[in-house]
Amino acid sequence: MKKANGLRNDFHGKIMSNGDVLDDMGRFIDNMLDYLY
Amino acid sequence: MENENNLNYKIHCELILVSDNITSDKVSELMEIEPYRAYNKGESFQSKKSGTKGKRHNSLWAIKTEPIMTEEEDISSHVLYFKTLLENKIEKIKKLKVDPKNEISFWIWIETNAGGAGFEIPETDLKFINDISNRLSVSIVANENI
Repeated sequence: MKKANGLRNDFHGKIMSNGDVLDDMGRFIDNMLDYLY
Repeated sequence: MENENNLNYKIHCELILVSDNITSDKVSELMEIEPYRAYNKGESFQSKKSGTKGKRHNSLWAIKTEPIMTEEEDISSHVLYFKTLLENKIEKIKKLKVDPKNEISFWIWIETNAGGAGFEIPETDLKFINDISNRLSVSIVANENI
C-alpha cells in the first residue's frame, strides 16, 4: 500500500478496523486490505 | 521452500514520482515515457474492500521493471533497465528531483521463499539511483509461493 501511494516506508497512519488508513489529519489515504492476497 | 526451478527471488524495481503540483500527464510529456500507473491530485477513488471514498492528495507517476525470478538477489539488471530507459533524460529528472514539491523514490521490491535476502549495490549504480531519486526504499516480502 505504501509503494502504491508513494508513501515513505516510515509512514505510519492510523489503521481503522475496516482496513482504512488515515493520515495524521484524519484524511483517507487508502485501504490496506485492498493489497492483501 | 524452494520452487522446482530453485529460483528463490522475484525482484522488480519501481521509480515513483509523487508531486504536489505537477500532473502525471505533464510528467509523461516531459519524460516522453508512459507510466505503468499514474493518478492525479484531486482524483476520486474508492476502496474495493471498505467502500470508503477519497481523493488523491498528490499526483503519482511510476515506471517499473518487469519482475525477474533469480537464484540470487540481483538488483543490477533492474538498475540497468532504468539506465537505458533514462539515458538521455537524466537532466530532466534531476530538475524534477530538486523541486521541493516533488519526491522521487527508487523502490526495490523483493519477494522470496528463502529465509532472507541480502544484496549490495556498486558505487556506479548508487550514483545513478542518487541522480534520479530523493530516496531509496527496500521491501522484502516472505512469500512461500513466489
